[in-house]
Amino acid sequence: MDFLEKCYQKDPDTPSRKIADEIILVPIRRKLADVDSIYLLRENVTLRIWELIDGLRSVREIIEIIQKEFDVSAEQAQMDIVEFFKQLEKIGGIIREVSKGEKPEK
Amino acid sequence: MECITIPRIEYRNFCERIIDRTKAKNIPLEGQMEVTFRCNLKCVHCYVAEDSTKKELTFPQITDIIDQIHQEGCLWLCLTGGEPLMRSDFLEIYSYAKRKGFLVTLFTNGTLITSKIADYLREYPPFMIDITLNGITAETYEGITRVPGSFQKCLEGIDLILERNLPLTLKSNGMILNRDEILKIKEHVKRLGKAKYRFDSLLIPKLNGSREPCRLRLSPEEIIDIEYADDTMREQWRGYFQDEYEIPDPENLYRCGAGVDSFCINPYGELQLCPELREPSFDLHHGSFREGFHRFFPKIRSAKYKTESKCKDCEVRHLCPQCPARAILENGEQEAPVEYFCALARKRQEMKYKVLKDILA
Repeated sequence: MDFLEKCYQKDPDTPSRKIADEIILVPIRRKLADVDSIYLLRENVTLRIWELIDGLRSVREIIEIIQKEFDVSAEQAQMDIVEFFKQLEKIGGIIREVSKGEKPEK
Repeated sequence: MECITIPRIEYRNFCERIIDRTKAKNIPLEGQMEVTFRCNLKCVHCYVAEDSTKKELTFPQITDIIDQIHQEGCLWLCLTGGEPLMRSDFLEIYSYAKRKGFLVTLFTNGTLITSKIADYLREYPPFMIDITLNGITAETYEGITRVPGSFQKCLEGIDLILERNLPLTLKSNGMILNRDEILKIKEHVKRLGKAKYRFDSLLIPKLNGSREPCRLRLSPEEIIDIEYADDTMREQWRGYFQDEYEIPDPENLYRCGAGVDSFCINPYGELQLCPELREPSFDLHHGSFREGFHRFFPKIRSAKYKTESKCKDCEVRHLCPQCPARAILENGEQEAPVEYFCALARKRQEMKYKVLKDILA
């Protein structure tokens, strides 16, 4: 499946806290090695992407919204946002939403 | 477009950053919930006193309060007691707080930690576990807890936590009963390798007014001797002595952060500035946390000195544990100086000169 067509939702095992205009990701099953560090979302664009991740919008739809709202080329937005989603997935901030009829990835 | 990245920052830097960013915003960042005053130990120095006329909060009441403090921006939540593990629903409370995204610390005496509880904590790690270790021999430890067999149980609890590599701080309350074991406890903790250590030199009267714990206090000289003899403690004090401190308005009675960015909720649902200031409190059965924190607290904190207390503009005030809460517990009057604290502050001033002189040398 094309990465851009994937839908993601926030991982319920990583609640987020918005405090002083920043979002803090607090994995509840965090690896113990991570205890001494914290993940932050602090730029307007990352805060907006986090807001848009709802399990329904595809990565492509989110890129289109960001491209319109922020002054950025389509190519740049796609490159940066795809990378951002991969980072979020890696740290356990988001999980893939499984579409109807689609087999979950193992 | 701005940079799209997810910065991972060190916890220490994160703390400084968030405290700086929330300064003057009156956000209750740090909370303490005393989920029960019941305890399986009977420590001679403990300030907690159960109130049999009041009812402990139920699980739904606790989760409702957790929802409210979450809404107001609390991030660090300490679950304490009494002994919090006395509650049969403790792990449910803990999980609820974890799922809401709090950085949860657990204060416990460690004696009720089982493999099952430790496994659960490994799966859902707390931000920190604090276990009180007030002796390095069964004789001393149990002379304080007054429960035979509790020393072994505590050591087993500590092992269960360490075996799972969970973040652990061991702490001791200094008193005449363990005076000669404090530095030995600290050495033991160092040998354990993975745990931090904290020494708390202050004993306060019981919340029911009994001054019994005060009879066990170390003298100011003994406290300073312990703190000066230990490299780490001396370093910590050196850092504090070298830090610049803000000179508070001498008229202000309240000078700490209690009720500004922190709060305490007791097992009966009463919101307090801190665990030591029992009254005035705000009953969360009859009002919201928001109302208590943002309307009730400022009224308490705006109090000014009404007497010519020598604490007002005391030159060693920044080295003194005096505060209105402790003055009430000690003297029944919030402005009255606690002479023991005066003596401790003067001794600490001597320690300050000694430490600073050591640096110059």
